[in-house]
Amino acid sequence: MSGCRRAAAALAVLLAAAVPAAAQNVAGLDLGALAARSRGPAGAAIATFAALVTPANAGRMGFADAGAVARAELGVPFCDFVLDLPRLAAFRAGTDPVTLLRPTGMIHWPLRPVGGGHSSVTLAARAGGWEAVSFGSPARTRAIVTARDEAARREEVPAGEFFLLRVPAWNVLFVARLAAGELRLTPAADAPWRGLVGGRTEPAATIFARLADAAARDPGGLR
Amino acid sequence: MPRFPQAAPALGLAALLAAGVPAVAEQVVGVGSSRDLDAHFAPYGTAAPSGLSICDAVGIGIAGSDDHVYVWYRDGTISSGSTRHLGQYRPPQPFSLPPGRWPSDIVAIAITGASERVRDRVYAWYRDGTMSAGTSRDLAADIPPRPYTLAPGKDPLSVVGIAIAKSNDRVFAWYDDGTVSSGTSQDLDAYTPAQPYAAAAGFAPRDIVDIDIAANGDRVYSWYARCPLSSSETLNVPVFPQETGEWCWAAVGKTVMWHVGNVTVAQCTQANNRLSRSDCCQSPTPAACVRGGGPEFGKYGFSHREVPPLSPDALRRQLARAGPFRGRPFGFNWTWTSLDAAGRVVSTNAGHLMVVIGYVDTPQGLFVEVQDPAPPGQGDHRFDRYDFWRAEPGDHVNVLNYVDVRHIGGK
Repeated sequence: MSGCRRAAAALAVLLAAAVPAAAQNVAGLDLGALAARSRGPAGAAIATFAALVTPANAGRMGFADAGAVARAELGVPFCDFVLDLPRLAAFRAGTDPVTLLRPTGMIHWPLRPVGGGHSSVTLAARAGGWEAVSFGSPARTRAIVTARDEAARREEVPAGEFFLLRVPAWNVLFVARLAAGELRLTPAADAPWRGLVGGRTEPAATIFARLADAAARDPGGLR
Repeated sequence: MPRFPQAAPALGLAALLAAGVPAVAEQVVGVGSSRDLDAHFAPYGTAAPSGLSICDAVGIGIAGSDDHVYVWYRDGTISSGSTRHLGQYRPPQPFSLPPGRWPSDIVAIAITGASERVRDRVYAWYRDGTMSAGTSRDLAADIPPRPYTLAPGKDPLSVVGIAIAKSNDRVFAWYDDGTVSSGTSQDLDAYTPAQPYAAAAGFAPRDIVDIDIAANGDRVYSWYARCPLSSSETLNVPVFPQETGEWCWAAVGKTVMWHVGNVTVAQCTQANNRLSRSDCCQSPTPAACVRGGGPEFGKYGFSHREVPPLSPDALRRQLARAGPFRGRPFGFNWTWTSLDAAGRVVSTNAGHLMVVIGYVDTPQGLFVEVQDPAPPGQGDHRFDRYDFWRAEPGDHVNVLNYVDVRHIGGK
């Protein structure tokens, strides 16, 4: 079984016992259920996180001090999706953008440290349940939480309706939401080399149409 | 005598050698000359104070006035004792460093002799290419950090020991390639260029913890240890965010070259050189300069090796301050994965470069400390569980690592 199939199978197992479907169902995944099922493991992972943070690295990990980790609270999570360039390159008018998204089997839990700051715990779906695989990333967390919370306030919807859409090949992050069946994207930061303005929400179809040609011509490489 | 209170009387070297301390196979001291480190005595055992190991030492010096041995440790403490019993005279006490430096930034420490205007002055050399002088507990009390230069082709992390001859205050520097030079505290090969030396029998240059020279006949004492990999290591590496959406490679190159060689190579300079352009330092950055790539260490006087994924121990060895590479951060890639038409995970031709700056072993496994040059203009910091760092099938796989980066293009 391929790695991705394993992840999908693990997700399926996790969802089988999930809470009833919430409003946001993206590419076959119930975001509310994923959040509910991963909350416990995310909370438990804070103890692991505390073992990694020292006075020397606390600031870089998004905390005022090393002791702040254990007192941090879970925020509203982001289910993780990616957009592969070949799929973006294939986008045509009339394509449902949601069909291009690929779930990675990861979910990012922002942490709200006491005294301010941002940090996070990333969980990945495994056959045995959710496992914490990455800790920290304060800059990314601040960017996506800020973009999401502003969009939620503007659109007057709960933060839990949003998810994360990454275009890893381009270092681009969107906070995303299905609004009446339409996928809408908000760049988490300016990406002038892609014509994206941080915080400005647009229909995914509009953005994808604009970027498809660049995706088709993309030479790859390390960036 | 370094300004460090002591109650115990000095113990002569002859008495030390006669003392019946059992040898410890993996932690020894040799006595010899600058080019034959055990010419006078075969290696004998040495022991750190309780709770510490010589593997924790970041510098060792011998006071010119009384041959007391001072040892500085990575936990920020210093002990004093004899060559065999490193805590015999004074248990560990705190010491201070110049601002911005960690104990693990120390590459060597040595103490002057009686001929120096200030006797027993403690000199410390740092990874960032600076040295300071002061007392045993305040390493910059007398001279704040100032630059030093090494023999050609060496970088600070290639130094395995620095000593000061008590007879004439000449400074000797030993390197991990088996050569030794002599000079001054700020010009380490001012007097003699690098030439071969022999480590103590059974040990390699990379096993040397530090070296200093006693007043008694200018005998050279070298401490050795074959250290187990420590349970954690964090290198003092700043974040250099990538300056465009596609310059992760330039940011990683800048970070590693800065840490290893104290050389600043601007990201736009790397872009100019990689892309054969001259306009990449303009603002705003021309679109033609915003391209993916890879670090080109060789263009800036650095050597490196490109290797496939590292095992946990190989990763630890790269980073461990007491390991064979003496604490070198390394660049690594994540190749992004995708799905083919059959739904199988495949690697793409796109990826991202980051820097590993440390690790922590926990009951939950090995965690890798990562400095990420993204998001552009900000950079980030995180710990990845080792298996996730190696690969997350639906997202990424590590394919290539830029390790053992060395500055070989110095003076």
